[in-house]
Amino acid sequence: MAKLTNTTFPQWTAPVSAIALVFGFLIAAAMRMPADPATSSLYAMRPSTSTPQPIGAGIDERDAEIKKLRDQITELQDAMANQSKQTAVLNSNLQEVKLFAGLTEVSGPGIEILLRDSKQKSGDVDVINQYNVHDRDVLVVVNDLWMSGAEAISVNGHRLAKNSNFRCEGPVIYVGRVPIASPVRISAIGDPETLYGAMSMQGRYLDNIKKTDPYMVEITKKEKVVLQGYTGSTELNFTKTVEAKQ
Amino acid sequence: MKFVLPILALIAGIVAAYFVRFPATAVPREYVGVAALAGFDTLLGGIRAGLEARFKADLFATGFVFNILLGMGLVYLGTKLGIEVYLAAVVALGGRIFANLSIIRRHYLARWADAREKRNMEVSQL
Repeated sequence: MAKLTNTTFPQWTAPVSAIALVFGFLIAAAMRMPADPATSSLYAMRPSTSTPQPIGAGIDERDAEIKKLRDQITELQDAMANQSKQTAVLNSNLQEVKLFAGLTEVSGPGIEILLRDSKQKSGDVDVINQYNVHDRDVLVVVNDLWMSGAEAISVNGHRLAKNSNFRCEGPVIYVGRVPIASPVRISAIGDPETLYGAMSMQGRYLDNIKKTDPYMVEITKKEKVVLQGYTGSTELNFTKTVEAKQ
Repeated sequence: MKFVLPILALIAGIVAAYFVRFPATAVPREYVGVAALAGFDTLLGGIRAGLEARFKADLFATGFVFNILLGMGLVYLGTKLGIEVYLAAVVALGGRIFANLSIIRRHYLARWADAREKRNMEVSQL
């Protein structure tokens, strides 16, 4: 029996089998791995298992409630203003400040800029990045709009106020705490001619995006743009008013 | 018959790899590739030594471990130097794989040729 084992299964087959096991594992593992970990930033960009959808749904409802409550405040302030001349002056001052802060619904002439992901396809990650609308695109456009004299701006219906910000979060762009995605509609109130001229100027940011794919940018002058009031938080935790010196 | 056990082990290894979940960026692919190459080289070296009846288990095991360590060391060095030094390991191990495979081929070809010669001699004796 021992002799049979030695001829059909020589002693060396056992260690060789062990290495064969390891080799088989390694080669299959190497094949299953992603091609290049350096480009696996695409994996990181994929949405995590907890998608932002449910959060976004709740925000819309709360935004509507905030809008309703802030409208009620304005109504109450108006009602109080009717009591005397002093309160009327106070209220007109107050409404002016609220208008400036972007807390009220406003309308006026302006322009609308539509940013869309390109429909062109590419296998190159760098090129795909150029074909998509990013948080930086929105940021630069908004900044250019303020520069060109825009008085009120809203992105996909979300009014921008003093603490508005844009950030990239996986597949979506967050305007403050609200996720949005392409198409991005940026509406601004201001002189339509000035805004249109400034935004379509050659060599500027939007012009460069247009050169990548004209489909991605669309600028239209508007006779009337209606922008909702800012519905984000107005709470201040650290800032206190400095008392006027006597 | 000799190869039944190693082949079964190879299949078991491949199957096992399909049951393991690999995180996307756990180990760069080059490290695993060089380790797999070192494993293949050791495997053929072991078979060759076994067929030549001069197999030594300690030599076999240390050869495997050291080849893997050296190969991975070269990959790491390559990432630091900006030169793909691990290609040295790929070339060296690749060359040995071919050499070992040709010796194993010769071993079986010689046996087959011997058997045919013997049969021819038996036929001519009739």
